[in-house]
Amino acid sequence: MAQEVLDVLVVGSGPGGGIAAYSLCQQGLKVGLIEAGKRLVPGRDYNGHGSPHKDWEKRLAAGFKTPVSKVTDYQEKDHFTGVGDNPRHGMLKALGGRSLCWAGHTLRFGPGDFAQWPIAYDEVAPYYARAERLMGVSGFRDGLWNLPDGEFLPGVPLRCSEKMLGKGAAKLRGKHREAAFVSIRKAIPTKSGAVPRATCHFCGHCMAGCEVDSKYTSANTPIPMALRTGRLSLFLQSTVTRIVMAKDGHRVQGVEIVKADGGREELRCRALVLACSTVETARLLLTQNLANSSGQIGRNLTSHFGLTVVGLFPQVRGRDASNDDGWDYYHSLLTGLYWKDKSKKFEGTYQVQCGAGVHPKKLAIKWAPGFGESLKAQLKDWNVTHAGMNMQGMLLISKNKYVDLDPVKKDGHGVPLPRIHLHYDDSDIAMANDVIETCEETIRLGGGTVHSSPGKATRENLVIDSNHWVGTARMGTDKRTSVVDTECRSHDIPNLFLGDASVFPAYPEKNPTLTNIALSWRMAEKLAARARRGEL
Amino acid sequence: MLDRRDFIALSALFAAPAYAARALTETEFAAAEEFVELILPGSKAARVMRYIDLGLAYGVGGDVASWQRGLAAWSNQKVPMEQLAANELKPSTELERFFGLAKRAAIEAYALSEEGQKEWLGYRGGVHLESFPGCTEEHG
Ligand SMILES: Cc1cc2nc3c(=O)[nH]c(=O)nc-3n(C[C@H](O)[C@H](O)[C@H](O)COP(=O)(O)OP(=O)(O)OC[C@H]3O[C@@H](n4cnc5c(N)ncnc54)[C@H](O)[C@@H]3O)c2cc1C
Ligand code: SF4
Repeated sequence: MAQEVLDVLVVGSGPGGGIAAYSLCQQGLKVGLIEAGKRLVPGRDYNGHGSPHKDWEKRLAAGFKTPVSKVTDYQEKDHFTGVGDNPRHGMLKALGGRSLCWAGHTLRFGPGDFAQWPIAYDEVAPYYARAERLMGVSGFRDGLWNLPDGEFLPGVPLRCSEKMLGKGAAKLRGKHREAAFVSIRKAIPTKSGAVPRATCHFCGHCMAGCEVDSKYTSANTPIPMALRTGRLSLFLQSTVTRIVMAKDGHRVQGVEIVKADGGREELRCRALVLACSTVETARLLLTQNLANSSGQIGRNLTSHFGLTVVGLFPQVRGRDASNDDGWDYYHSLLTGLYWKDKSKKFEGTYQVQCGAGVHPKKLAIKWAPGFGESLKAQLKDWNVTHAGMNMQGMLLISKNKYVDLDPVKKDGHGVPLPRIHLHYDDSDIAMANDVIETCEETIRLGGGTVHSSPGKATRENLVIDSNHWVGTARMGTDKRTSVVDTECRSHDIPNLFLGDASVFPAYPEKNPTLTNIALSWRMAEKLAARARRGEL
Repeated sequence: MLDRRDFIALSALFAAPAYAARALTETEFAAAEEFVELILPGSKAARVMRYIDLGLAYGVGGDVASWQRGLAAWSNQKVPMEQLAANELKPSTELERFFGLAKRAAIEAYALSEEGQKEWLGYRGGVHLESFPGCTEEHG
């Protein structure tokens, strides 16, 4: 029997691949979604909710093995090589990818951010709106030009020390600094009936995995919707190891997968969407040097990077600290910095994610001097009154940051591991020093004192965000300098499309996933339109 | 009706079973309990050493040898806590280093214990809320 040729194969079921599969199915195409991991069931395979104490007892009883209590326990290890300033790379192989453990921060990029893209904000805005409705995004309307408001469910208020930071930020503005202090926006419904998922119950475990599936994941929203169309075939525990090209060498014919039992199979398609995540998509293409006439695959790699400054606000001493769980640690954002008045010392800008509160599972402050009752009192007081400020800076795109293949190390299927090169540039260090000054000033202006601060940024004390990598296959209009066109279609291979953040040609300070979803949705619509025109 | 003595007898029946140390020896465990109680009063009642010992046994909470060396130094020297604390930022002896190690482990474990959460931190979270109130107080 001749093998079925599916209209589209999508590789990777994270936020990028999940939305692409849904949109393509909804438009009448027959789609195969290939995912290396298995389906994890909230509440059965991860169960971080409930009392931190009972949860800890469960982990102890199980010898820190199964039943696991955090979805992050499933993250991959030894799956890449790092060169330079301690690069890290997060990967969760499961239906839904890292959307299972993301915090859900959902921010639109603004018109200023798209100035460096070959498409404008207005082109993406309708997809942002659709994505927000589907995802159930909660937040407040802040009226900021470069952090546009979306279609929000009711926002979640700040904790006391965060409000003090807000006062500090207002005074920064009084000193003619561009700055705004806003509540974070999350893909978590705060109002029942708005989306067909449970309403958040504010237990604060979002990144350990939402046991009640309130937080948006691609496993709980677009993939079930795609399955309901009857046009989606799921290939779980199936790893794509090779892209199979047609005999003419110009078009994709399918992919080779390795299944859980080790068996290899070839799946056929009219078009292929890669959404394996920024690093893995580049890796797959580099192993065969496909779609790379520009030589740009793996280049233009960027992420966010940061450090942490902690302040204490004695004014809030004595507040009710009995339940600070909220919707995880970060409830607020210091933003708006250098959007218009560019820094002379560094390129780009940063935002600062701010959090507060007493969380027994992850005490923010774990040390105070001394011993005895005074130590206990001091530690409690510091945790109750603290606010943490975590920098999320734009990492300068430069020749010092890229992905290539490890010449020696391979995975279990014989595919070379990706190798991530990260060497901070002077501009990065200068930005981090500016963050330290700004955070310390915000704390003081808010009436607090600086509890801990790196004081000075160095290549050693900066921390890369292992989950925010973008840009290894950038979008552009010139095929000599970019990998995909403005529809996320390969310049070289007309039936190859990219559905993840590898296509970002520039990266602002904002979290990537909403834009990843919006772009992938847009790509899928353009792809389906081509299919309807018989161009596949 | 249960009288007070019946109640105590019944409570003992349902009390947590005695813990048999897995990573440390029984003697080391008892000495560690005493040491940690001096650092963080209430640790013994909160069974902090049980958490630490289990962690050590599963290889997630540091190495057993450092605990054993530290405990041996403590049983030989019995230096006042004030002196250990005074040097904690620049520890130079085995015992001073152990003070830091035991303190870090104890704080982490105490925060996760039922007593630590409720009585020390006053934590009443981990429950289902209809909405999150945020900060409802005005501060200067
Ligand atoms: C703890 C944490 C918190 C985060 N918080 C936020 C946040 O608040 N806001 C935000 O915007 N972002 C956040 N992120 C980042 C966000 O999760 C990622 O941006 C997003 O998941 C990327 O989507 P993706 O589809 O490109 O990749 P992934 O989610 O990584 O999905 C890729 C999928 O492809 C599969 N795959 C890869 N290679 C193959 C192959 N060869 N064959 C078959 N399958 C393959 C993988 O198994 C995986 O399931 C967070 C991430 C983490 C881990
Ligand atoms: S805070 Fe809300 S979204 Fe986060 S894990 Fe708890 S219920 Fe889920």
